[in-house]
Amino acid sequence: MGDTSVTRYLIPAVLACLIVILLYPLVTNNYTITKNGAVVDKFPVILKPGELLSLQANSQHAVKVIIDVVTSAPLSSRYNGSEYRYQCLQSNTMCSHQLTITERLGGMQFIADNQTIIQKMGMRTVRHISQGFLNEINKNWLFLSLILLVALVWCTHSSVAVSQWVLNISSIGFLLWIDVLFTVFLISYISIIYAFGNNITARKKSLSTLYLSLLSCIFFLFLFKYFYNAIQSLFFDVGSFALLAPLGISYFVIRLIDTQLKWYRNEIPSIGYRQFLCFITFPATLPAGPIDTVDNFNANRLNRISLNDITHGISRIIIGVFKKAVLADFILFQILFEPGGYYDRVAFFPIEADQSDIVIFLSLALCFVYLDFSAYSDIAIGFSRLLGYRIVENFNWPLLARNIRVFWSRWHMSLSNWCMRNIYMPVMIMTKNFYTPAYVVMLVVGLWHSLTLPWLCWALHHASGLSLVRYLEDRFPAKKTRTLPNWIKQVWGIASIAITFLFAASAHAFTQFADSSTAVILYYRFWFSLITLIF
Amino acid sequence: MTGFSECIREYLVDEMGLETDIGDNESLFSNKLLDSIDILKLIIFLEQKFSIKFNPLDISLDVFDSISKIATAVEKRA
Repeated sequence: MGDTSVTRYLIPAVLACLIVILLYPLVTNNYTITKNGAVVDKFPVILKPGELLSLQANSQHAVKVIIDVVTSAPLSSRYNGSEYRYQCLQSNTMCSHQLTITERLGGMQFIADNQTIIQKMGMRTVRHISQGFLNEINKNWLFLSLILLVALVWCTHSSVAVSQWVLNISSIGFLLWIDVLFTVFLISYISIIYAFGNNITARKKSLSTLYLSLLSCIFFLFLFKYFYNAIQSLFFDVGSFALLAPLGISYFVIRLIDTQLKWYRNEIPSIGYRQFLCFITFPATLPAGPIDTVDNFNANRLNRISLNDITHGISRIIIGVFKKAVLADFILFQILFEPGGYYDRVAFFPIEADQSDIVIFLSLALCFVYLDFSAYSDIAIGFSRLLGYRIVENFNWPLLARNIRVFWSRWHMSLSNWCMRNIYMPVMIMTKNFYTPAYVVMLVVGLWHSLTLPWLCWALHHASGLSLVRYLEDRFPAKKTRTLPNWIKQVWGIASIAITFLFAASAHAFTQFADSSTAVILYYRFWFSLITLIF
Repeated sequence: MTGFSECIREYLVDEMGLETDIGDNESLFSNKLLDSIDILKLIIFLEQKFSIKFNPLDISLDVFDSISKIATAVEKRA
């Protein structure tokens, strides 16, 4: 992992930055202000009673905007025929008003009740990215603390113990900031599991302790994942509790289960409490993985953080942010979920929806989920590298997989490997067949996402696909097809990528819709439209 | 140990189509020479041939990652 790996990510990161620089003028602060039809290019502007000041977004991408006005008196504003009272309680102070422009082109009109001096007026374009992801970073001190954490880790990296305590203290501090009670509960639980771990090593082979410990993990997961609302109601003020539970909890528990089984199989040497805590609460992978193993995590700690590591880390973070902010949220989100987008076209009347819309919606939904999730993984991997750890990759071009088995070995790889180690292999050895483990794994993964009928259907869909591929691979091993002409192999290669993509896309009918009847109708119509297209 | 290794090698070459000169420590699963179907067949073969039993919770993929590791796992249980 030397220079090649740096160039591999550095060039796309530079390209991503260039694209953002080129796109930036198109999406920000692009508006025109007119007064009675004439363009206003300087302030202050005196608006007499009845006069109209119009602020028009030029960018066709302006979806959500904030209009800032400094005026000497209250103004009335009009948008899409509706009246808003645009009131500044204090004269000559900035008043901000946020509105969503649902049309591609939009703006707002202001009418003065009395003669008003408008000192300043402007419009900031706010996108979905800023509503959720980037805005959060900008808004609070999180971004600054992450930079401080990286600096602290760099200063202390030469000492494993000191740098790991820095990481532990910062993670616990972050969790405490989110919710004190929950953090105390979580850290106590992790500590108890660590104490149990010493009793389930292969030397002692305490199977009952292992079962007890695993059951407690599953109970802990169910408690927070499925009785979340009930728990919330216990607390007077839940604060930002939602950030940790339920998703973050799943990742804690998954790492805890894996470590316990590794202890039981004697696959890991004894580790100290500091290393264990650092692995479980590592800041970069804390919210959404990738799910590393404790031995891999500790073995892949960098001896020193070189310039290559810093370049690699920053490049991966840039690529991740680009995938999330530009490709997923700026392009695909709008196409799919904006008013009038594909979601609206298929969700409300699934029986009457155009068949091609259903195919496009589910295919783009798969691309959106891929970009969104792989972006988080890129950021986590890049941030880990900056903190001195080389953690496992999570995606390896799954959308180009030639069958659904290969797809799952390239999609969320760290979870797939976890399932392989801890569910698939034990169930396969127990049942001596490879169909049952596929169903068990997919049911666990599906119901881990949500205990609902659509997710159950999702699990059955993928398990059946995996079983079919297993059967075909067993019936027609690769060595039997080696004699086929090259052109047949190439055509089949492309066709198999398309089939796998569509198979994976169709399952998104179950992930995008909580209503099972809508999901089933769209799933059925997706395949029906493809079959009618082919024949 | 050598007996176990030879028997395992013979099975892998005859039934799984692996090259005859495969090394004892060569990685089978990580190098994609075997997949989980092959592992299942191998487990069934080993349990029948040597009258042993693999505990589901006790086994990881790493145990089957080379001929020498498989031989060690069989020897432990034989």
